[in-house]
Amino acid sequence: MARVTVQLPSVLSIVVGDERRLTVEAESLAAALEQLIERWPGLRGHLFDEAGSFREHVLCFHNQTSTRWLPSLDVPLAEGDVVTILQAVSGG
Amino acid sequence: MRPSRFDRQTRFQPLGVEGQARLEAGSVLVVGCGALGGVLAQSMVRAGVGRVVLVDRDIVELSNLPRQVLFDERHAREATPKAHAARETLERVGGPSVIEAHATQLDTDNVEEFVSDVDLVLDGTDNLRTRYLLNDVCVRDGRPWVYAGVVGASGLTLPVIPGRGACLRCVFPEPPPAAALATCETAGVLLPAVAAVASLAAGFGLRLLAAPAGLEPALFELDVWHGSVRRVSAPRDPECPTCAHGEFPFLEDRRPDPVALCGRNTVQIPRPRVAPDLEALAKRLERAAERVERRGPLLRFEAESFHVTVFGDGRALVEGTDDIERARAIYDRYLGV
Repeated sequence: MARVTVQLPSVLSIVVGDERRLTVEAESLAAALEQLIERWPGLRGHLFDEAGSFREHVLCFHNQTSTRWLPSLDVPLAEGDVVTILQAVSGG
Repeated sequence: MRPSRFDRQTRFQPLGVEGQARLEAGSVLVVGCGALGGVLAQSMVRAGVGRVVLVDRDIVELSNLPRQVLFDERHAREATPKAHAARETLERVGGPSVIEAHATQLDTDNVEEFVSDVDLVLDGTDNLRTRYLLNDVCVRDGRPWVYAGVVGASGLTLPVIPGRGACLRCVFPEPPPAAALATCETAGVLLPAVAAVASLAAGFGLRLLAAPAGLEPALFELDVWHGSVRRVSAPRDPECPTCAHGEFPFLEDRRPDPVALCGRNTVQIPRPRVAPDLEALAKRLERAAERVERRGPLLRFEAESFHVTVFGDGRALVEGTDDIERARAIYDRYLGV
């Protein structure tokens, strides 16, 4: 199990409140994300489409690598990794 | 000897006198003059950018004033078009900038006319449809632009440098479906968030005009409530439909749709192919609507608890709803389009 930092986008504070940065212990990126969904079930609809893929207006980075280009989310995590999720913003 | 107007700027060594000269020879299109656009436009004019072109479809309202820095109560009382109000305020600042103002919707019909003769495009819009359109035309032409978006206390910005980094579709391949994202109406918005995001975007803009070499494109999220800045790298997607495969679907879509304006409880109906005769329309509405009033180039009236503002080209703002179909129905009912 690796202890990693997960950073959630400010615009999802409607779901996660002030907890925009938290530490989770997980072996893989997929497992870390599943922990987030267990804690905040409402996150699933914001982040994933019906097929379980990240929505196209959502970005997830494992350290500085976008997960969009990874074959799957079963990426092993290392101690100290950072997972950053961002979402498109339309206001202005 | 008195220091020159831009003395403190040119003392900043990475800009210098040469960079200042490039700013003064440069031209910028600022799309949207409201919250983000106001800060962007002000930054460009105060920095001495030679030509600043302002485009905004909207009129000033009282509820704009807490976050839209170029407007005042008179602009709101007189329902001044935002582009004109912004130019008026910025011209009082003075300086070398030539400021152009266009009170119109930037869409597929006119985007090339506005974009084709500027060096840089800055995003002060309030909707993703216009941003994907700007991305299409700027990537196609190899012209840099800077995406910025804000809601609540946070926002994103991304400098798009075609050929050197990600475009908007590398990062967010498709815009989300309607109502998928928080808006200024549902989540509110704070001026410090607007100012922070727009200031970073404006910094990228000055850099792109004056000294673009070495600027590494990245996506930034700023949050003024929690005090955080997040930066993630934004490499090009080798399979991006736009910047890798040359597809420009938003540019080729010639059917502008009505859009709900962020935070306004207002829907904008795009201009029809043929502009209406507002004098004739005003007469026709005298019995059908209330408070029918010509205000310079505008026609305003009230109907069924909605306030409608019609511009000279037929574009209209229907205030009192964010229901696009309802607004379209009001427009069709009273303008007969």
